[in-house]
Amino acid sequence: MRALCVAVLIGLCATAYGQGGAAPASSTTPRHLLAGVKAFKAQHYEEALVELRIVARAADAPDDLAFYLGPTLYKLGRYQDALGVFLGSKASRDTLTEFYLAQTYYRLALYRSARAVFVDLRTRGLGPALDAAAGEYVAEIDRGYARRPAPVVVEAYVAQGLALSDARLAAAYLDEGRQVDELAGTHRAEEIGWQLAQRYVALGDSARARPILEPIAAGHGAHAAEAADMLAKLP
Amino acid sequence: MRRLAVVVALLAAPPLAVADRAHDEMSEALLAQADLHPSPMQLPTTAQAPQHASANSAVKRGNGPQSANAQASSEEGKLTGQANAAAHHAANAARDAAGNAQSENAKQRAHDHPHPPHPTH
Repeated sequence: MRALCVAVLIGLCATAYGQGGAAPASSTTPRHLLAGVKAFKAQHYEEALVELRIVARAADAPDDLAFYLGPTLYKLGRYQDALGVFLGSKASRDTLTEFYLAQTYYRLALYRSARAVFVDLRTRGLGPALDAAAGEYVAEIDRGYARRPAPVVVEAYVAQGLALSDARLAAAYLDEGRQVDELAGTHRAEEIGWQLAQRYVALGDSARARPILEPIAAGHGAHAAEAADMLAKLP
Repeated sequence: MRRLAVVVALLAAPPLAVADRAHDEMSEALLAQADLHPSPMQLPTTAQAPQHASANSAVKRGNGPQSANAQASSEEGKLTGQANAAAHHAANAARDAAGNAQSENAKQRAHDHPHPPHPTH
């Protein structure tokens, strides 16, 4: 019995305080996390980022690191980095993380994406302050799109999407372009969709790539054959 | 057995407690610091491009949040300002061309009308 207790204790120690490895798990990770949070609270965002970067490198980094890191990057004005963190996180996002994601979209002028997140948040239920704020954002975006957007707006998003090397960010801009294309009536769905699908495939996101590729492959457009080929290769 | 339970609790509790505390405090800060009022929306145009605030710059340069915010507003128009950039490039190109022409003219003048050497002091 005593031997069993000792074994259990050793196991617990290893679990709680890390077992080494490529990225060392350490008992200091929670302390750095807390230090990062305290710095964020004090609006010392650079300091918060330093602490959170240490946490990010640790093997025992929390799954929801985006909850801390995303808003910190947002506050530093590093909106693309923040978006990358939010979109790259595999942890399920809570309300506050989603709210900061929506704000990040807004700051990057990805208004349709921002609107979708704000609307979804309001549907799911927000506290009074955030609900009112989300309502203001949605109203502002609706005002901006009260008139049909000019084709150059679509072009701007597409150009930005094509210019970005990060597939996740590129997809965000191309997706925005696709949504604005519908509003603008510029009929560039296939062309933009083809580019977008390629980014999703690069990200291993077949679930998003497939519904975009299928109509392209079924059509007679310039990318029909390539889309069919790509569809056939999707897992 | 009871002693084991106590030890287990002691071992597991601190990191969990700190993580919970961090999450609670961050939630509080995120609520307090959320931007509740949107800045005016500005649709991008092709003639406009992002003045991309270098992502690392604020931290690397040790700038404070104030300047980071300034950067933020510059990046906020991620898709704005390409026209300015293009105009800037065009102006630079024109300036370079003018400079080159001036320099060529000066060379030509020097060649056609060589000045006497400056007296040395």
